[in-house]
Parts: sequence; structure tokens; C-alpha cells
Amino acid sequence: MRKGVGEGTENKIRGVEQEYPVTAKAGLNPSLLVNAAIQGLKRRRFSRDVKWDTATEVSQEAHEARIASSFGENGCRVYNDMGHLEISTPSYNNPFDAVAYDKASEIYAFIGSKEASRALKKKVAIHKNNVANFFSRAVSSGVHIGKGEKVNTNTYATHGNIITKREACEDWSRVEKALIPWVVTRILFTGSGDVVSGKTIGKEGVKFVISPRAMFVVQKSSLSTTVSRGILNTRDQPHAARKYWRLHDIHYEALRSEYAIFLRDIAQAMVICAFELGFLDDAPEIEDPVSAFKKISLDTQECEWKIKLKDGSRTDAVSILLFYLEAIEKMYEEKGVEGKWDRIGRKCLKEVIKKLEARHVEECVDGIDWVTKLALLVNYEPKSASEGISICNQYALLDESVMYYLGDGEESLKGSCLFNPKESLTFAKRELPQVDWSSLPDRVKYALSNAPEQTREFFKAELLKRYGPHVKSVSWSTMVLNEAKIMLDEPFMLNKEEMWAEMTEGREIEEILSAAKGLYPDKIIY
Amino acid sequence: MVFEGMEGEEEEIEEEEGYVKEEEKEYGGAEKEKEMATILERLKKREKKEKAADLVSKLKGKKKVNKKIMPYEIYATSGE
Repeated sequence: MRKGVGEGTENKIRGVEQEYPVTAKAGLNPSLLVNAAIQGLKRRRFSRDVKWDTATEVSQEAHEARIASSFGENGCRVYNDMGHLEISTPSYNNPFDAVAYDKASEIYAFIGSKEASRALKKKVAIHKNNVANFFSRAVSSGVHIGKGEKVNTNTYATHGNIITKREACEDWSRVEKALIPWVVTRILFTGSGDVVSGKTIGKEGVKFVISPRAMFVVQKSSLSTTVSRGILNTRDQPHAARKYWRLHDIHYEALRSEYAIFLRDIAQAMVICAFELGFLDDAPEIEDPVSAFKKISLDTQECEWKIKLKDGSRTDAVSILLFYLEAIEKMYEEKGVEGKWDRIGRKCLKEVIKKLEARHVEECVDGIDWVTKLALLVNYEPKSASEGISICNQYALLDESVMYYLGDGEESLKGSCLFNPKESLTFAKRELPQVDWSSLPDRVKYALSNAPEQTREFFKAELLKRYGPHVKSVSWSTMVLNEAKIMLDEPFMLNKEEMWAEMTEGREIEEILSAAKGLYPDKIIY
Repeated sequence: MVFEGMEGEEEEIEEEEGYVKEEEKEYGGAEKEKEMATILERLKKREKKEKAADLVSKLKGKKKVNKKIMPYEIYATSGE
């Protein structure tokens, strides 16, 4: 076992990229709003300017090489990506930190919007979702709503990343066989739920769906994330040594529920471990996964979630999830390496599948985001498409309620956001009693200004804080200082356990580098 | 979930051809057991369907509606 790192899925680093739409009623240019939010975060010392070292990365989207980044105090990357405020969390290695750093990201986004409001003297709102529905006057084609208007849906992303062995991903047909059924069916508990234009299914009006992301997929795999989007993304950009592959999952969604974020993280990590070890090689093959993805997503009423397999048999999404659960169980039985989070995650996955199998979906209000949003729609009884859209948007609104995670109390819940952290945490405490949720406020506070202790982000963030003027550029896997270049291409290298004793106040940077070189002679290059 | 301007998805009804055909067969012994198991499995699925029907009704009263709905629109381009 590596120093400072636990067992099982704790050997997998992961992180989430969230694109937040920034909006002002005055209809200001989105990039102007995003830049104002980024400047505001810097003013409040949540982040700092940094040159992002793109030379070490294989950029597969042309615009990415031109993005100016700032570096969050907790090791996150903050930037303007095509007119959205994008925050990529630092890499962590357990589901509790997945929640803490996701909530820290929400707080960064909220602070950014407040600062943008102040600077621009306009009300600037920020949301955490994946679709923007807007109305426009009818043209020759399109969907008409009410008084000659049509609704369109723009989509933006939440990407999940997890480090994987390159050898497991070299045969992409194996990746597709093992993981496509998982991505298609996991939406039953990872779907964020939202309304999208009926155009996505060739109909009029708007439709509430389990997974808004599913509605914009056209093929099994794609390199691009913006056009002809695939279920899987083939981007080969490990942000680590060549022996790794970073699985870049473009179908994470903008979740608010702590339970759902926790479960998605640990379930994904367990599935990827099972995949690497060959336990998913006989996964059931879906006949037409692209249309199945949409069909399941659309089934919010009967919840039959029917699927036709390649061999002609018919089943449902839950039976496919059961395959993955059984594969995970078999893996732990045969391999025996199961960490604390794996045990909790396995139990939680089993219980949610049991609920889904019995179709007791209503029991998941406040735990699974799409179910909570649907419950809000049902109980508000919107009278128009516009009202339905507003309800979903109001759930996604990041307002003062995000401060509840810092222990700000019930006062913070009085805003107009329809997501209620108190009710959501009550669900998490009930369904995941083995997790110490009472420590979440302290962990979120920590996550606002500190990187996770277990990964390479610790060293990077601490070095920037203490020796900022020495840093010329950073990337996920490199750091260039005036004195040396550091190759951070091993995910857990120079973590707190390895470096804390060396990082005492007042030490010269040369001493720190010398200590790091003692541990990793080839990675510190003078 | 249907409201003005919101399209309810048309339910796609799948014909359970195999179910009828198998019932018409004469059977006994191991074959009977196998078919009974299949029928039971289908009944179980049917029961699940009964339970599943109308999630919208099941969600009634499951969430408070004590906040005013604001006419928010999000102006955002597509991204990634």
C-alpha cells in the first residue's frame, strides 16, 4: 500500500469538471460575466493567476490551448470555457471528498457570482445544471410554445475523470463492451433530471427527462465532446505518466444531492476497478445503446426502463445494474482487497438497486436529484413550459443556501433555491449512516482552501501558497519553478504523508525540492 | 409530467407475444416446471409494472411548495 493512501478504490484518483452558466437579466455577454466572476474569486483570494502549462498536454479540442486559467487555493482549476465558469476540482480518492470538493466548487461559483454582481452592478445568477432552455420567436421550423414562441435547449457539461490503467483501455471495443451498459443504466441514480426541448424526441413542447445529457448523444464513442457526442469519450490525455489512462466521462451530471454525489463517485470507482480486473468482460450488450439511453431517460412515469439486448432478449435497466453489482461483489470475493469506502459504497449501491427494482422510486426524494426535481414539478403543478423550466432552474440556482455546508444554519436557506441542503443531508444521513456527515462542514471548510491530503495536489497547492513567486507554470501533472521542473506524473506522489514534515514554515524552497528529490530522484529536474 | 407546452411521452406498448403462445402449449414434467418458472418471472415483472405505474401520483405530497417560483431563464451557450 502506498504511503498515505488507503485500500481498494482509494488507489484511484478522480475529479469532476463542472461548467456553470453565469447569467444576468440584462443579457450581458456570458464571457464578460464569467471573467467578472473569475476576477472576483481572485480578489477574494480564492484563486490566483497562474500560467497553465499546456505544453505537456495533448490538447484535442483546439480552443483549449487558448484558455487562461487561474489556480484555486484548494488545487482546483478555474477558467472561462466557452462562456461558462468552469471549475475542475483537485483530484481526490474517496467519496466523502467527492462531496466536500463538489460543495467547495459550488461555494466558489456562488462567491464568483456575488463578486460579479458587485463589480458589474447587475444581478448575476449562477446555476449548477447542464441545460439552458430559452424561448425565441418562431421561425420556419422549431417548436411553438404559446404565443408564437419556440423552446431551444443548449447543453453544457459535467465531466468525471478517473485514473485507469492504460493497458485496460488500449482495446477500445473492450471499454465499450464493459462500460457502455453502465453509463446508460446508472442514470437511474446519477441522473440530474431536467426539462429539455421536445425537439430532442421530434415532438413539440418540453419534456422532463431523467438524464438531460442522454438526450444529446448520437453515437457509442467520440473524441469530440461538442459535436456528434458519444456515450464514451476517447480522449487520450492522462494528465499522468503514459502507463495511465484518464477515463474522461462526459456524462456525469450536475448533482446537488450529497447522497447522489457520494454514490456516483464510489460506484464509478468500484466499476472501474472491476473493469481493470476483467470482471466486466461479459457485460450484457445492449442492442442499440444510444436509443436505449434516451428511452430510459424519457421513462419517468411508468419506470419500466426497458432494454433490448443484442441477443434479442428483453430486460430492464435495473437488471443491468444488478450485473454490475454482482461483478463488483465477485471482485471483492476473489481479490479480497476492500477498503472502508468500498464496503460502504457496495452496501449503498445494493440498497439503491433494491429500491429501483421494487420501483419504490418515490422513496428517493431528496436523495436522487431527478426524483427530487420531478417531485417539485408534480407538487408545484406548473401551468406552462416556462414555469416548469423555472422550477428546474430554481433547483439548480446557487444562492446563499450553499453556505449551509459551512454550518451557516437555517438563515442561509431562506433564498429562492428549491434544492434544500438540510433535507438532502437528512436523506444522506438516513441512507448512509456509516458516514460521519456531522464532519462535512469542517471538511468543506478545509476543502475551500486546502487540497486533498492524499494526492499530488497537496504538494502543488502548498507550493503555490508558500512559494508562489517561484512558480512559473503548472498543469495537472507538472510544475515549473524558477529552480526546477517537477514531474507530478504519479497520482499520489508528494502527498501530505510524504511531505508534511518537510513543509515547515520558513524553509527555503531549495530544501523542499531537495527533500522531494530524495523521494523521487527522476521527477525533480534541475 | 405534462403541463401546457410540455409533451407527455406516448407510451410504447410492447406486445407480449411469447406469453400468449407459451400458454397455448401442452406441457408437463420438466418442461412444465420451466414454463411455470417463466410465467412466474413474467408475473413478477407484471407486478413490478403495476407498482411502477404512475410515479407522478406517488410523488404527490412528497415535496413542500413553499417558495415562490421566479421567472428565471438561463442565458447560456452550449459548451464543453
